[in-house]
Amino acid sequence: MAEPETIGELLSERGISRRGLLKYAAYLASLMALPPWQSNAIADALAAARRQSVIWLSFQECTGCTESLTRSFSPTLENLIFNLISLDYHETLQAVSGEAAEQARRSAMRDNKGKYIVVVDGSVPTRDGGVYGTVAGQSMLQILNDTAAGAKALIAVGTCAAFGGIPHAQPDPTGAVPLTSLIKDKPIINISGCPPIPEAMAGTIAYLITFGRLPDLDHLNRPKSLFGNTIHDRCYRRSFYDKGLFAKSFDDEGARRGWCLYELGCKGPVTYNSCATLKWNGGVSFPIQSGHGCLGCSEPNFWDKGGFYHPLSTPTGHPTAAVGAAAVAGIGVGAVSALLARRAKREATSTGEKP
Amino acid sequence: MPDADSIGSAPPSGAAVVSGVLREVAERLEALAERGECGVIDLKSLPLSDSHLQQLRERLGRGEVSAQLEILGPSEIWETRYPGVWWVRHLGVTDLVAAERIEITRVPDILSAALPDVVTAAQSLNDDLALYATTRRERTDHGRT
Repeated sequence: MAEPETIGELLSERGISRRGLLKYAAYLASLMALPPWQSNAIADALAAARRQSVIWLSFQECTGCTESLTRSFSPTLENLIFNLISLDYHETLQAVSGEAAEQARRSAMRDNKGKYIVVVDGSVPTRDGGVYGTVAGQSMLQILNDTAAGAKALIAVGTCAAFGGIPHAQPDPTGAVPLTSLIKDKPIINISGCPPIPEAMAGTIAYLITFGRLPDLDHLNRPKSLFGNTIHDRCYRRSFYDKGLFAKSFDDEGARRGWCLYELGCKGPVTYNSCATLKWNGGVSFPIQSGHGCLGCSEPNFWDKGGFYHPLSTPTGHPTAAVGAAAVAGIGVGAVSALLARRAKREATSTGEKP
Repeated sequence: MPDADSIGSAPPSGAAVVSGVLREVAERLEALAERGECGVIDLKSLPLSDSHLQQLRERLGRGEVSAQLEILGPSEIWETRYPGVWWVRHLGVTDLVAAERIEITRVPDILSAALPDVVTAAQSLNDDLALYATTRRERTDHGRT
């Protein structure tokens, strides 16, 4: 039997109907903030597309990004992405090893020259000629340069690949840098986070396959659809912030009542990501919902911005201090709201109404 | 980085969004009635809480048609009490909502069988009939011997 040429043929062979693609397209349109009426056109485009060759390079990383992408899905709608791509090289997931694995990478590069996507997790060590990270006798720096040369685009998944992450944190012994410091002649999309939200990775790859171009990106090369709002903008505890109601410690009355975690160091106001809407573990929860402030892991240098438990307005010696001042202004507004709320409550109580 | 204004300003209230959505549904339904134009509203992209979604569902009510689909996880579709306005909810992992939308159309596309699936089905049914005929003939021949 002939190999299926298009994604539509492949899905049909696997017993997934066109309705499955329509459902996936509705999900993708919502995820990537595309006009919802485009979902039919998205389904048609995906059905006609060929599977996208993907070469996944793992550098200075902890495998958390791969874990996030592969382990957070059950075999239903969201993992349809694995039918859309041909994962031609991934050290952790591929069955082959040694020379056969390297041969698979070279073959994919040759057969899909100019068309394949390189996904990178982990930062790249550059000090002393890049000797602090080698695979199959080659430095990570060399592997990246060789593999990127014939790529259509690169996706930096995780804060290490996007901004240097933890390997880049002080004192940065290996001279760790992100992709954007090394590759200047190819489009690069950053999907930051430690790890990134799996739907953000899968949605971005699906977008590339569907439209053959990059989604709209912010000033840090992140898709605006996923990184367009701060955690604070969409946080379900936002109303407590606006009322000036803050937990002061992790076990006080405010914490038990679910008040805002700003004063316990939450970095939500300066962190752009979709955790508050997409959530984690298939949409079960996210850190703030579990009672802990946001660490700001999808922002550059999050590890070196002072303590995770210092409120943003605490001077840290970093540029976020300016934002901290702005956030204090926000508290001012919140305090006024709280005053108004208390007055409303008093008046409502005096007239016998429930607050 | 956000400025003081963006940090201090609250998002629009859910109640305001609920009435905004209903007004948009009304406009799009008029467009369907007058010009045959279909429309979709993505509810997941709007700042609506569960209780606001419930309000919206109650305001639109349920009409004559409802369908349960089993495609890469369950989906439910029902026509609201306004014919041409459909509530479409796709569930993914562990019954969490992957997409939720209001479609303004005569019939949501996902309910119709797509042509490539019909082509495959025609081939598959013919193959099944041929296999059935062959098996039956072999049984008959076996009975004679």
